[in-house]
Amino acid sequence: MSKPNISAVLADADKLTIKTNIDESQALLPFAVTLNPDEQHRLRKTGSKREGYVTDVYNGAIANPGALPANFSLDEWSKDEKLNK
Amino acid sequence: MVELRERAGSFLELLDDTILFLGNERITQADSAYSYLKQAAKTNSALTELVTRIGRQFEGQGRKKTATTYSIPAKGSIEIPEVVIGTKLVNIGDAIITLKPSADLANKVKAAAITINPNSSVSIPEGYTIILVTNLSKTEDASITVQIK
Repeated sequence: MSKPNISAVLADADKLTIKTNIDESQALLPFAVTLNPDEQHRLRKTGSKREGYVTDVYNGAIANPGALPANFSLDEWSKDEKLNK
Repeated sequence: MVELRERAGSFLELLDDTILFLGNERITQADSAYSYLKQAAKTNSALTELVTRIGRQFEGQGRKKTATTYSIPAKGSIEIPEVVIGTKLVNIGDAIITLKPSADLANKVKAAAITINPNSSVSIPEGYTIILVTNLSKTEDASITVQIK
């Protein structure tokens, strides 16, 4: 399906609004990290298979908290799982 | 539009890096929890199924060794050293073959020769580190595959 030619103007004020929204969104994530290529390479990745593994173990841990030692923080892990979504 | 794309791109890179970093943390926590669950499963049968199911996800991982193919002439035998115990010896030819420990091992491993029909396989038994494979056919060459160290 062919699309009509774009004939539009983005006002400078609107452009500034978009940029400001992006910056404000970023400011809501003060914990966000920037990684260099070496760090990106070294970290283990959660592909679809490993994602399933993490989810299965997490659900198993939530259902069986007594199997974990007291120094294992399920709360901290739950925060990570929620943040990841 | 290009300026917006650049600004949004930087933001997306930040999200990607954070998701990657978080993912690594999550895997570490999962590995730790899995080891505790495995330990607990030894004395808690209710956890056994869960641990087994999770463990199945690792099946087939790791570097796979390819099998080596050998040809055995009609009525002939070959000795193959350093076969991997527990892996399959597959008869991929049309001749019937037999498998037994090599002469050096025969006295230590008391076992009769194992017959392997075409398109069949056997697991290399314990102790069969050096094997003697014999082609029973008087006319056909035999072909097998087996993993060696």
